[in-house]
Amino acid sequence: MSRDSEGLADTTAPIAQWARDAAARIGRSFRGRAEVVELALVALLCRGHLLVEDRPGVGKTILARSLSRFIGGVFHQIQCTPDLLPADILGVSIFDQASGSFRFRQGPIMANCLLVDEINRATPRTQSALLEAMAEGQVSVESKTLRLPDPFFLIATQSPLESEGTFPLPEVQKDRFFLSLTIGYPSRENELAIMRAPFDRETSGGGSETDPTEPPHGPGLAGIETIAAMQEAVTRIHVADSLRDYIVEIVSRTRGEPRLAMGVSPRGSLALYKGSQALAALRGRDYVVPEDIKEIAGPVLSNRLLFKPEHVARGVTAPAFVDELLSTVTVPGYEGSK
Amino acid sequence: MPGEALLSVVLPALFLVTGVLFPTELAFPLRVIVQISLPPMLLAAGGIGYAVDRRIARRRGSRFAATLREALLLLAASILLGWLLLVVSNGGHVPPMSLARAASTLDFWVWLLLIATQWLFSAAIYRALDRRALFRESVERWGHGDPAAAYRSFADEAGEALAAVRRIRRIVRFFAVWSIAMLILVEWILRRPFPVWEEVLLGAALLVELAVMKPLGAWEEEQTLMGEGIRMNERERLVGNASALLLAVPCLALAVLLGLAPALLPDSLIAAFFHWLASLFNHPVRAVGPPPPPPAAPAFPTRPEILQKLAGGPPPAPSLLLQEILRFIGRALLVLLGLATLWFLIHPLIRGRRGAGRTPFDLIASIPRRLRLLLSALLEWMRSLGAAVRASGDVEGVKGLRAMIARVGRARGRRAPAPSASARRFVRSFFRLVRWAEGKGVPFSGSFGPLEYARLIGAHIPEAGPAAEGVALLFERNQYSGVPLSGQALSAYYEGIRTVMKK
Repeated sequence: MSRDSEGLADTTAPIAQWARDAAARIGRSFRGRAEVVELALVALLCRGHLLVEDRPGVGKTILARSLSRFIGGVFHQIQCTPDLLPADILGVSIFDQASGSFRFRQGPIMANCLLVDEINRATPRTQSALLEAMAEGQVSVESKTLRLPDPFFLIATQSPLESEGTFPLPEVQKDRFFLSLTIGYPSRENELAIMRAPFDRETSGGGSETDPTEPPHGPGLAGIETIAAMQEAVTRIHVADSLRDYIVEIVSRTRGEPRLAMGVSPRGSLALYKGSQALAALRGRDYVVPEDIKEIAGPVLSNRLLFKPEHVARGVTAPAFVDELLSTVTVPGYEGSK
Repeated sequence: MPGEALLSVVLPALFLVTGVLFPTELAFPLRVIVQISLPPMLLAAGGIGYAVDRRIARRRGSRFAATLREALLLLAASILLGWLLLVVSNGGHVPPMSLARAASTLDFWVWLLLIATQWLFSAAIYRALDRRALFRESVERWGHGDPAAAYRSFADEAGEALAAVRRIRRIVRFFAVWSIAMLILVEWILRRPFPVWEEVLLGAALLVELAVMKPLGAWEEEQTLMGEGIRMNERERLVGNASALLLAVPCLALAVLLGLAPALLPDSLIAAFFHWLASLFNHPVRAVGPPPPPPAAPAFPTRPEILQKLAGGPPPAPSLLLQEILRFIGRALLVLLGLATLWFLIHPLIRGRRGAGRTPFDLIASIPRRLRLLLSALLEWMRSLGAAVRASGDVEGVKGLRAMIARVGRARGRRAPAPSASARRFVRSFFRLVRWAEGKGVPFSGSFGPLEYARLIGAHIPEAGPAAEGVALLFERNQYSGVPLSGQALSAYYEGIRTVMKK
């Protein structure tokens, strides 16, 4: 199928440049792997939401704050606790003595970028309050439906190690997250850089751009309008028919897999499709290649796989499973080699 | 050892052994059995040979089936043309006398089988020598000493190019030889004895097919091989051809003599079998023309008459019961053979229409479902077309037409056509690089993306890494971007592959 790619090539180059800028700027405060930043940008460009799962102290919150600073717009942060109520997130009507009437006070969810820290510490009831916001971009409070700002980007963090006083996310809510990623321990050089960072900021007179402790409010470096335009451009990235089949083949193989209690949903295949488009755009291409799909498959599919308990006990992990799965699916495009 | 090379040794030996062990007329039935059984034996041996080749080459295509199909078509064409020649030689009428004589003495059958046998025999040697030489070159060039890898490369690239050239030439040669042989045969049937000069002509015509003549007229192969950058080993080829000559010439002479030898037909099961064959041969004539009038006075004595004279008694007659049984078996076999041949010939036409592993019954059962799908797709298309026309406005019929054309174009684009020759060449060139890298110890899997594999090459062979990545990027752009590469980019792609393989 032929197509005209000239128009798209004009739009993907700025996205790639933007991604390089983002990686550089976020990297000044977040000293983690570059792939993590790239994946976070993928989620942003696909209008998805991000779940960061890792041990305490590896920089989950700093990554989220750095991202939100880069995006700009309204930023809010929610620190989840077991006594957090849905109204604390969505908003509540309070009685205004001056006017003698009830007035709705918006909750912190009304933001362009929302950081939900330690989401698994909130009760299931509170977690569920986020479902509609994540899926529909709106919230329903007291028989009113309120649209969330556009773009709305939710970053949630959780620690998979602590189990006391936590409420694991239900599968349906995990499926709402576009992708989940782990940060991992920093490299030796990055860890040294982290230790040097306060001193460097002092000596260079660094401002809020490099200080992760400062609030990320403000116009941001990317601009909300720019991000909205790029989100639109990403949807027009070309995906060959054979690669769509490839995506469906990958996803469908999870559905008959005996080690899994639940395979990947159609939302998962859509996420894989969109994610590969975004990854291609971030790399300056106006078309998707198999490597885009393979790279994004792990983060996109991992949080959508539910293993049977006996296999979990045997140590089967989602990333290893996805790697194994990808190694069994033939990449299209080699037809006619025989 | 490739299977066809095995054939080139075993089959001449078979000819020689049967000729040496049964040289006289006393052993005629045994010789005829050997002659009759040679074509199926050759086909079976060829099948085994191809199976061995395919196993080595790890190919899925049925080359044996293609060869068998070709042989069947040629045999059918030979029989039809033979009948036509006989009719023409008899002034446009079915020649009952000639046919009766030919059938009763089995000369025609022997000749037909002889020609087919010699054709298959010489073709086997011919292909074996070709492939062996090319294979050895491929081992050095593509496999770096690994025969399996080289054979895969050979089968994919040079093998197919050679096969295309050789198939055309083989058919032309076969028909040339066949025409000469049939002319001589008809003349021989009508006018005995067989003249010596025609035997020489027949021998020469058959020899044209043999491998010994190949170095003198093999420019097509040379061109193909040079195009692929493969140089054949002249010394090896000449030695091989000389060996083939040593084996083939006495075998050929013996086979011709066997075909010409007078037959003694004892009253036995074998004789009944011969009569059954003769009746099979006469069936088509009875079907297409009026029954032949009884011969008033044969121009030449028939073979039964000669036998009668030699034996001093009545001509041999087969048992009636046996004749009935054989006739029934013959008809059943004919029907089965006809059905099998029909299926064999049309199978490739419908094979592409059904999925792998599905039977013809599945195909038939799926017809209503396919029709329903077609109907629903048509309705959906018409609905969307109507919407497009409505959206285009009242006066803008052109837009509607354009929408319709675009929709038809998209519908056509959704069909998955078979890759074109240039597309196949494009992909195969990439796989040539893959095989080269495999030869260098970089394993390939179908689950690797092109760029992923190029990076793997770069990790193992750093000096080839950048060029390999460049090739992979161009490959991906062509295969996945929806925009084919320009001529310049294509040149860069092929040049990149050559550059990588020089590392």
